[in-house]
Amino acid sequence: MAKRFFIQWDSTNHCNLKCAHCYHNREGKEHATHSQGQNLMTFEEVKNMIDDLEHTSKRWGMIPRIQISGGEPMLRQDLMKILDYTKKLSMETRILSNGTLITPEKAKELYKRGIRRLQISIDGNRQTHNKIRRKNYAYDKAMEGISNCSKAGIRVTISMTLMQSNKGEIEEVIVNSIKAGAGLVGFSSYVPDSKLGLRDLEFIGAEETYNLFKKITELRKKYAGKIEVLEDEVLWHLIHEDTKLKQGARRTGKFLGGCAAGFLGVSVLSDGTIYPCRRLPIPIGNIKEIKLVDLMVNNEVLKNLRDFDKFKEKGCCEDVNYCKGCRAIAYAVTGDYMAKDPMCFKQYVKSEE
Amino acid sequence: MEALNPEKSFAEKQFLDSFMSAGTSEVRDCATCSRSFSECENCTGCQVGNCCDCTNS
Repeated sequence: MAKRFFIQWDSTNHCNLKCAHCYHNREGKEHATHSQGQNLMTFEEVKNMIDDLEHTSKRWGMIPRIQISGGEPMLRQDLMKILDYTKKLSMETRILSNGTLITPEKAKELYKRGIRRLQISIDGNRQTHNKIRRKNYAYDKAMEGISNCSKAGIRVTISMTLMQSNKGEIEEVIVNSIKAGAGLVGFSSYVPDSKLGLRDLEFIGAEETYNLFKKITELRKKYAGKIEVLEDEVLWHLIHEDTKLKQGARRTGKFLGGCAAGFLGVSVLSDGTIYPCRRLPIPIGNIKEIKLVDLMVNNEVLKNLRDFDKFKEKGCCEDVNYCKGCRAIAYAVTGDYMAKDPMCFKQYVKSEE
Repeated sequence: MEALNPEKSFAEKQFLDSFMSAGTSEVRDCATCSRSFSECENCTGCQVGNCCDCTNS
């Protein structure tokens, strides 16, 4: 079977919202400069990146996918021109948006250019979402965006980042997503600010995360048939039963599931800087200067992310090559991306067995 | 940038083998319905042991 090889690309750093937990706000002066658009990749550079993704994926027998993020991608002036190009290549293309700028016309334009799936972030009920987004129109406009996409034939996935300030609103988000016409809803872990680490007041620890995941499993069953509740963060592996795939990973020592960093894709910033994952801010090159084949095969950080013997979980977790934990959270809390994921709740799962 | 050599280097083959070797192909299907993940429209290609349909049913 063919796996997907992806680039998650920050098409621009410009955004109409100012989310409290946005990584752009944490990345300091250098990235603030990018927000002014001075270092944006040109259309030709973007085209080269897309061509490289296409060629590399074909070389490896994989399916290319580009996930266009931001900032807010709808603010990238040549977005439609870029989508014309990905459509010409029949490349699987997803948009990750805050939803507020997707009018009925824009939704139709996206559909026309091959967009069938789009992700919109909703981080709580109206009050909480607007507080996090620091704009009082953010929630209502995002809901309109979901509805406009849905009517245009685009299946919307809602993405909620779980934080202390919204952990009590999971069911409300699911219900409101159904009302707005979303097809799927997924939940991301909050990566703490590296300057604060575990002192970040929004961070949710291991045991509490485990309890939230169990709650989400109940809600998945409750709303089955109305919306797909995704269980796709890496730590879900700790809850899921001992599948054939998990057993295979244990037997072979291969990477057959879990965090894709180092294996199946990279994140590219608006100026071409490459990170192993958008949440793991370690520069490993620039897409304008390096081919993906060379990067993936030879980069030392990516090699480390593939070396399960170097993971601090090694020796205390038999499933390290099937889960890998979240390297970004390990890095934010300890400064070492190979450290044990502080959100790992395996001990609590085991204590219930 | 130089053009890529059409022949894969040893390091490149080793990289691909870390997640694609033929010896593991039998376990890259859904653990419940055995459908290939590539047939699942929601599949991210890297996540759970079951396809989305089985996970969510």
